[in-house]
Amino acid sequence: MSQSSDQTNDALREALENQQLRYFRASRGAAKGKTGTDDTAKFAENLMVLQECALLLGEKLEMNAVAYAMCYDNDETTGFSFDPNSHPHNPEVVGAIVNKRMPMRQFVSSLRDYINR
Amino acid sequence: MSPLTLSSTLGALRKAGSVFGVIFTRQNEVLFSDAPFIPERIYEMANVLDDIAFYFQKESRHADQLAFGYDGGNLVVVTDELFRIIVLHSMPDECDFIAKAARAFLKDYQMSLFAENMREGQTAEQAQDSMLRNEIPHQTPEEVIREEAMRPVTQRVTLKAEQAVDPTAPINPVPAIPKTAPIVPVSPGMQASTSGYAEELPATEHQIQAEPGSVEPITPVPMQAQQHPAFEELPQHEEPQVEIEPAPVGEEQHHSEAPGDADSQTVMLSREHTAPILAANQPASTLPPPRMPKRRDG
Repeated sequence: MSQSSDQTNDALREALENQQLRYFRASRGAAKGKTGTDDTAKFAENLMVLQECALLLGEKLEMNAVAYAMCYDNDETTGFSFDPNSHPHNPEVVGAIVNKRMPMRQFVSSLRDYINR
Repeated sequence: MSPLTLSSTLGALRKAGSVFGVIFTRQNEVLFSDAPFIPERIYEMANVLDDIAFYFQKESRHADQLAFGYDGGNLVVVTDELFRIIVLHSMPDECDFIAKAARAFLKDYQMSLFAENMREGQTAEQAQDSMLRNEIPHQTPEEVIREEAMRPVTQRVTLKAEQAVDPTAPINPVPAIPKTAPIVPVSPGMQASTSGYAEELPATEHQIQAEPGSVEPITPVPMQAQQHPAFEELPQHEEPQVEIEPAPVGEEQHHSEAPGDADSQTVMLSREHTAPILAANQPASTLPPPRMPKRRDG
């Protein structure tokens, strides 16, 4: 257990040092990640906030199907994208966090690359 | 920034790329909107975004740019202090370009507000405080039109030196005589130097200071064209004198009246005066006689 937590901490540290994207996958109210529990919990919280914002705005715009959402939060970029390869009855969401202000176009294309990997 | 400037700047953003809607708000107050939605929906969206911003502020997070993608379009929200721009666009790849343009506009807008507050005599701290307190001078449409009409004059007046030193100083009218010296033509006999220029300058000043009555008016001399000897041999014909007969009052006056202009005086010429003047050997018309329709016999 302690060995796995050490590994996750190493993965998180490496991602933070190199300013790499930390990917996550979420479905049915659960999120999975490779960079530790705290980091995954942080992503889950951001995911819920962004989903709520997207649904509230989409309701006003009469556009209910959310494809992606992202935000710049201080010097951090957080976002998610719907996985079109997932089952319609069990939709999955792929998200990421990176500790820099990344161009949004590049962020979305990275998420799509991760989905198609 | 006047409302006209605001609308023209945001109108340019509205026409850029695949943008199909632009909304500019200050907190939940809509300052400008050009989006394909009814006003109530735009106000609701501004309120929702204000709630979202309040949530992030409460959590001590600074989310200054949000982007959402839907099945029918994309949405970019750029926030700077209290001001917010919402841009709707079709192409998701244009997100960064739109966000950059929106951020540049927000900075310009805030700088113009700051400059307006400074121009009103506030210090930098007061101007920033009033900007954050939403003290933006609201203009009525009449004021906007007046400002646009007076813009060149205002710019000229504000550039005056005494105004820059003391804002309460009276504005002097523009001097009638320009201070710039006239350009002296450089002739071959005159050297193009400052000494020659100085010699010519007093004479010019004397001409300006001369009284209007002392200068004799210049009478134009009629120019006579040189006649060719061949033309002198030709006999001079007397020009035919055309007498204009007034038209009969009862019959033709109603034709001469211009519609809608009762004071206009139109003189109608009689038929013989309107006919062309022909020479003795000139036929009345060189056109062939009109064709008569052929009749089929039988």
